[in-house]
Amino acid sequence: MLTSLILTAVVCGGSLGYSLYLTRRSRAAMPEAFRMFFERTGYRYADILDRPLDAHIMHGAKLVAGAATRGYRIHMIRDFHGTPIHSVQEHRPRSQNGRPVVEAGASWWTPLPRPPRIRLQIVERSLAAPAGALQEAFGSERRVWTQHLPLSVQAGDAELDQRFLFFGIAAEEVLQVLRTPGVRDLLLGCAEIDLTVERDRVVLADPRHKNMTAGTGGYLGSLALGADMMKRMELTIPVHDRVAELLATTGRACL
Amino acid sequence: MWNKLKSALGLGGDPELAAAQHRMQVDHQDPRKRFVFAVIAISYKADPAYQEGFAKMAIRDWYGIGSPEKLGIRISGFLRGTSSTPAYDAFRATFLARAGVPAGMLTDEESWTWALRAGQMVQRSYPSFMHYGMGYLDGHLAYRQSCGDEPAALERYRHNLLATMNELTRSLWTQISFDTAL
Repeated sequence: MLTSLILTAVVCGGSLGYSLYLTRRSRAAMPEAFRMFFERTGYRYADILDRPLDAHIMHGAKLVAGAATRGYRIHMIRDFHGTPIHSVQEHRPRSQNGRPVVEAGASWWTPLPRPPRIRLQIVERSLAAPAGALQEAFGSERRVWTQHLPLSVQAGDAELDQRFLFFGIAAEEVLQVLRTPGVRDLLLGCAEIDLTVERDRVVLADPRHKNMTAGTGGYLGSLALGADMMKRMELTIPVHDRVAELLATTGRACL
Repeated sequence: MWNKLKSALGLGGDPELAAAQHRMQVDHQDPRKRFVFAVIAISYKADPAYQEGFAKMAIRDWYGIGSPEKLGIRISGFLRGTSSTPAYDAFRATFLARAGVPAGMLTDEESWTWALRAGQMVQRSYPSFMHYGMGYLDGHLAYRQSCGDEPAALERYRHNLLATMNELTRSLWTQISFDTAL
């Protein structure tokens, strides 16, 4: 009896100690991980855009520390070969009719210098399909998607049509964008697409972080990364780059 | 189906709207006037020029216009362009031009002159009625947002306008050339 109590205490204490060790190691590694991420991507926080790099690193660590309890809004901007790319992540816990509700949003967007000649919306069939709504009815999560443009268009490409829905104002305009070199591969290379060319910007919405999760090896891969902040942030860079390229290419094709 | 049957039998519905649509049939012999209605049709089922009560109320209460001079200033302001989309400006110029007739502020001839200029603005700014409709949607949503409408209400407007555009694409907007000489 006493032996099993001691054993349980040792196991619990050991787990707690290890988890504290990981948290401390993760916190200690955070500044260097942020530095690497900012240097390689060029991202900076929008609210302190003109401050030196060290201020951004400290700001990042502060945001992460307060994120779990207070919710957060992280807005970063980078210059991607001359195209400004914004990355926004929001997480707002609130109460609705006495029940705790979390509103989460994540998107990348690039502003357009003038109203686009071509309007376009591309979305995963699974996001717009009734099956998605059915899944939501039995789950605790609701993913909001709305059709912005009037005309549904077939791409005439089996792989694209099987995965995505396309909307526009005129079919030929949508096809013209899809024929733009690089667009097809960039679309298929993303884990989840909800792309809209609006009146003043191109937006890729990804509130459930599907692209980031896929980039870090899925849920299991992310678990395996554990507290290795450096590796974790390094793996997000190709995702940021792919999305930035998709936004820049689509935006140019629509102007 | 029931509404169509009632309408065919001349039963039910709004009598002012039915009378307005009847008078529009005469106007629509002229393709230029039909084009003007294609601009208004994104939001209304009949020309406001033939709905006196509605036109007077809209000019007075919605736009706060009390004289022919002020009406002229507002229409020409929309035709010069505001910070909204060209489509929303052209729509509002057309609407005021046509509503000005039953409000006693414009003659029929003056009204068509303004309305045709608004039609030309639509042709200059967009390649098709569908593009015009999208411009109207953008302008209208931005205006409603500036009035403080909730996101859910904005989504309802968007949904309804997309449905109207799809209906017009299968009817009026394909029955008339976008390049009609105005």
